[in-house]
Amino acid sequence: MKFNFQSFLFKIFSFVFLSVSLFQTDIQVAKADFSVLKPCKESPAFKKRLATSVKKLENRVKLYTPESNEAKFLLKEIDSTKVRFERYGNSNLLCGKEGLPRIIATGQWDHANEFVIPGILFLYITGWIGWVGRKYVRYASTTENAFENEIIINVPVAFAIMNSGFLWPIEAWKEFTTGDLLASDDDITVSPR
Amino acid sequence: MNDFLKYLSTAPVLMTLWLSITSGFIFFINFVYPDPLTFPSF
Repeated sequence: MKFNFQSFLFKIFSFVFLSVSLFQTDIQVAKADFSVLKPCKESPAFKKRLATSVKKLENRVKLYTPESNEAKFLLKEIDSTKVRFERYGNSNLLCGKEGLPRIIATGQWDHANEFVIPGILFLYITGWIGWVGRKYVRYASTTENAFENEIIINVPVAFAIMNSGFLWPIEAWKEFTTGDLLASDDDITVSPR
Repeated sequence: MNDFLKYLSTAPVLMTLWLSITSGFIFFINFVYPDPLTFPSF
């Protein structure tokens, strides 16, 4: 049987429909105002955390002579703590009551750099890795001794494939529309039933 | 020399080398730009 595009789309649609209707009984629009959260810059608890963190490090510095490596390290640590708090304070992050920054994962655009952009980047990079791995395995299966090519990697070919993977979403879509991306049902072994 | 290259190309050796490079790269990024919590917006 050839790959059936329509039945595949139907399967995806019914999967999404079922999972939404089964597990999401009350869909609400995500609250966009976050009245419980405050910008970290204005949060008193956030400022207090900075003060206590620095204080703790300063108390530790006192244990060492100023020229010692330990003291130098701790002074550097104090600087980086201040930089970190300043950066979090300036970066549109919202803090909870306890003064810790929260990542807003609702997908709204003004907080995209907290979850959406890193998430897409993650999917892109993992997709790249998976795509070139698949491409290499497929290349190996066309060679004379396929098993050996999977154990002893043909490095020049593998490098060329790795570097060519940056357009993987387009390539994957192309293969999907031509039916090359997914194996047909006949090629999938199924246990007797 | 050829045998040595073949040894370096075996999957476990290559993976060790490659993941060492990758982890070194991540160390480097975290050294240059420590404590990232959000994607930097310039």
